[in-house]
Amino acid sequence: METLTSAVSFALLVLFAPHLMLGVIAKTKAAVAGRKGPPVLQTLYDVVKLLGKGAVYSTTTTWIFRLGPVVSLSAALAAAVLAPLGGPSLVAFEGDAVLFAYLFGLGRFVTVMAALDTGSSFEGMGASREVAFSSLAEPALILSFAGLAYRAGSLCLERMFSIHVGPSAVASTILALGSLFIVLLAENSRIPVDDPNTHLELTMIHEVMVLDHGGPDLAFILQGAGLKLVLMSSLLVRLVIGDLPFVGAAGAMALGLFLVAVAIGLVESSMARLRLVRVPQLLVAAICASAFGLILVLR
Amino acid sequence: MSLLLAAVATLGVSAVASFVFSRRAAWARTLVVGGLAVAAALGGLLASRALRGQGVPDLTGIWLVPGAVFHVGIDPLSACFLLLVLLVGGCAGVYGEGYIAASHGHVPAAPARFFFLLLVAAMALLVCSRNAVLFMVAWETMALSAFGLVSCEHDKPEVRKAGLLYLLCTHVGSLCLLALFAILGHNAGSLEFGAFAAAPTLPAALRAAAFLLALIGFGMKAGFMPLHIWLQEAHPAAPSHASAAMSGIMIEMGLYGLLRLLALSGPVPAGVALILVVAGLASALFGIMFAMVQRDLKRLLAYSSIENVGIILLGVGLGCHGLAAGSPSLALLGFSGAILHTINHGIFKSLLFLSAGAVYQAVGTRDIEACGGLQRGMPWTCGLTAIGAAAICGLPPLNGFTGEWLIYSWLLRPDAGSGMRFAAPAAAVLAIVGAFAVVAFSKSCGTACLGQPRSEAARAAQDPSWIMLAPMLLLAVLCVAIGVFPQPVLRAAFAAAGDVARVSGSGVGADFDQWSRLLAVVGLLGVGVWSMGALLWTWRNLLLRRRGVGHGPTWGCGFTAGTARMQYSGSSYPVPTARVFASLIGTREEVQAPVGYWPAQASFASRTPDPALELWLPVLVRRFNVWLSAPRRLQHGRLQISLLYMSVFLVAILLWKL
Repeated sequence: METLTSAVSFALLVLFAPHLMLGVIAKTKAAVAGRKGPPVLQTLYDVVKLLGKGAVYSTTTTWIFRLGPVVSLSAALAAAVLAPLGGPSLVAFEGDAVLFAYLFGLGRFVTVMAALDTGSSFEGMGASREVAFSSLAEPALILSFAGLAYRAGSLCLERMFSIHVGPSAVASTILALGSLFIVLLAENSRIPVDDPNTHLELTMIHEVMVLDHGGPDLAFILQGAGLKLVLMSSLLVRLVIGDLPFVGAAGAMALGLFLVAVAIGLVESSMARLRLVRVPQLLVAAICASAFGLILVLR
Repeated sequence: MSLLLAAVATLGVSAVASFVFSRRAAWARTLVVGGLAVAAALGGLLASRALRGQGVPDLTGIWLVPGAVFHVGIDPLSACFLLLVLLVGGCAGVYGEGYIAASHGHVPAAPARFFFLLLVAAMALLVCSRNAVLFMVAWETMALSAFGLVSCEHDKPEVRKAGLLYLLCTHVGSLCLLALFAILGHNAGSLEFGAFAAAPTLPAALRAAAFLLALIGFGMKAGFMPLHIWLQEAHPAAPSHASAAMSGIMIEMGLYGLLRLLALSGPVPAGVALILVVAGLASALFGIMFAMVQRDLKRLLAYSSIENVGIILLGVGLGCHGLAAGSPSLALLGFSGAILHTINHGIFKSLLFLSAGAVYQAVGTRDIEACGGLQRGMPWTCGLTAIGAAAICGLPPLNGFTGEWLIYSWLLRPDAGSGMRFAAPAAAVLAIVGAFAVVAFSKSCGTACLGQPRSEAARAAQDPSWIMLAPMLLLAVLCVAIGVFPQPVLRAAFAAAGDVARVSGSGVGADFDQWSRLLAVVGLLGVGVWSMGALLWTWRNLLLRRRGVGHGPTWGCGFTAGTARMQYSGSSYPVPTARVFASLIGTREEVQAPVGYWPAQASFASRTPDPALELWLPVLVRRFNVWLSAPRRLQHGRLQISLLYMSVFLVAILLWKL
């Protein structure tokens, strides 16, 4: 019975949480701008609509282009199995943190390859920028993981991302939060690294890589990207909010994801996208924050 | 052990016979393929016996060389490397037959076959040698046959240059090894490996000297930065099947030498372990950085070999640190990570070199800017390349991840933080290396195989014959299989690590069980990724069957006359990454910017000089030339005086011994 409940709640979370989070971000931005904004579940409607559509493929593309969305979504789903989403992870073992980070690497690799398969200069440009920024986001992520693993005495996401008390622990938590929040913005193509709503292909990073996808492929990409946002946000939430009275761990996670979405919405409302040459500096700041957090733990 | 002798003899005999019958291509081909297959079967049988823990007695024979005994033996460490040598050697050799046939005489068949078989035979003998003289004989045979392979196409000046550079480097390395064995042999009173292990500890100064000599001697072969001088020149020069064997197994013989020496010498001080860790990280980081900016497909792969050797050396350093800290489980974890990555690297790197050779033959150039869109004409080659590329980036459902995961697990383990201040920064560097590998291989694979053809030759390219595809397919299947079911290879790696760390079988067992259980979960999740992908793929096809699939041009943002030249090129692709790390890479750009409203001429060229070849080596060589100008006067070139030197030397030795 317990397995059934957890499986059902996992399926619901994987299906709906991405769209709820994206909806809350859009609503927050709309509220700040004084607009009404699209419905909260708009991206879910989009995905459902796309699943029912056909597709148009460029004659330049091959099976690699068609495989990209499929593999990136299945990598995100595998990462979801490892993530502690409001309770214990479905699969937890020593060292799952590294696998978690590398599964996103797999998703990135196939997305980039699919983009290069179109032979479009715009998509090549997006791919080139994506791999450039990830080469700084990866060490920031691993350094944060290192600090948290040493602190928790375990390389298992479930134990690394849990609440620690004490002045030193609070400081290292704040630093890890800062670093991981920047990594989250960069990896999920949010402002100030990338603008998901921009209309000029030249300024996009992630969106430009998927320009040529349509139909079910695009639906898979949207679902996978949203899921990635939820998974990385859930890690942040676990660092700050544990069990809450009355609503339990699941309710706490829901509340936390809502707060992260609002925070992303506020960041996106209050600043513009950085110039591309400034983005590495932001990511180096993330590396520094996680390095300081690590020093606090090792001290 | 007679199985080993039979295997080596088979290879040797088929080498000579293929040379003799070189005019009859069919005979020679049968000899090569048959010889490799028989040797692989014999050696595989022997190695599996050793890995299953059945004791295989050593074999000794009398040898009329002073100080030498013909002594061969096998333990799990030797068995791991023997299997790798025969697997990669066999695959590359079979592929080589197709490659030679398809080259239409560009690759001289007789020397290519002879030296290739000799190389594999020498390596098989090398990993089982238990005597320093035998080791050196095998080592030199390996080095010289590799020279023969590198200089196969010696009508090209750049090939001659690369061959001579390689010959020089390998002899500097061999000289260091001779000195090393002289020190060890003098201390032990015998040139037997067993005697080295039982000998009293060396005095500190000699210990340091021996360590330095081993690092240079084995490092020169393995190609650690900055001793990689020859590597990126020789690999592109050799025929592709030879580059696959050189990169997949020959450079790893340097690592075998280092591991064997560690197994003989026992724990090393923590400082030495730190040196190995730092050297490994530097090799990995700089290797992949230079790989990223290469245009030549095989040169890119050669630099990536430097990177992977660096990762392996990092693992060796971690193992040494575990030994120095008195923790056998840490030592086992580090060494087994290194050995597992060695095996994985042998597999995916040879796969990538073989596919690069197929691309070279189909397009007629190694310049990736002239390729593009090969996926259409060469679906098999490009598909297998994509698997190899994902594996070498260390991505999860493939074999590259397993070894790197073990090394990450060492670095990020909870108690590493207290004693090992360098562990977390090392993990961060490893993360950067992984991200750079994605840049390098999405570039090479993406530019060469995907998009639109950039030249007519690329448009007309076709898949090679099945004799070239089959070995590549086998290697790719191994990449996938080890990724989802790593336990058997992990067992072999742990057994070999037990030899290096001098931990008994039962001590290895507990650690192996622990890590094997964890890696089993990783493999299971890999199965999950594959099956979920298959499920989604089927669903997607069902969805699309209901609706239609249309075809059209790539979206050009309103521009409808896109050409192949407008694609992102292999040179522009890594620029955003390379700019961030510009001070480390040192790319030089020559720009003639367009001026005015009607610019007449504009040009852009970029070049990344190799730090060793163009920066420190010329300085060193110039210094040496100055120092050596005085003793050079002894060299007249006159025969009488040279004979006089010899007789004076002989008399001096006679007097000294009297």
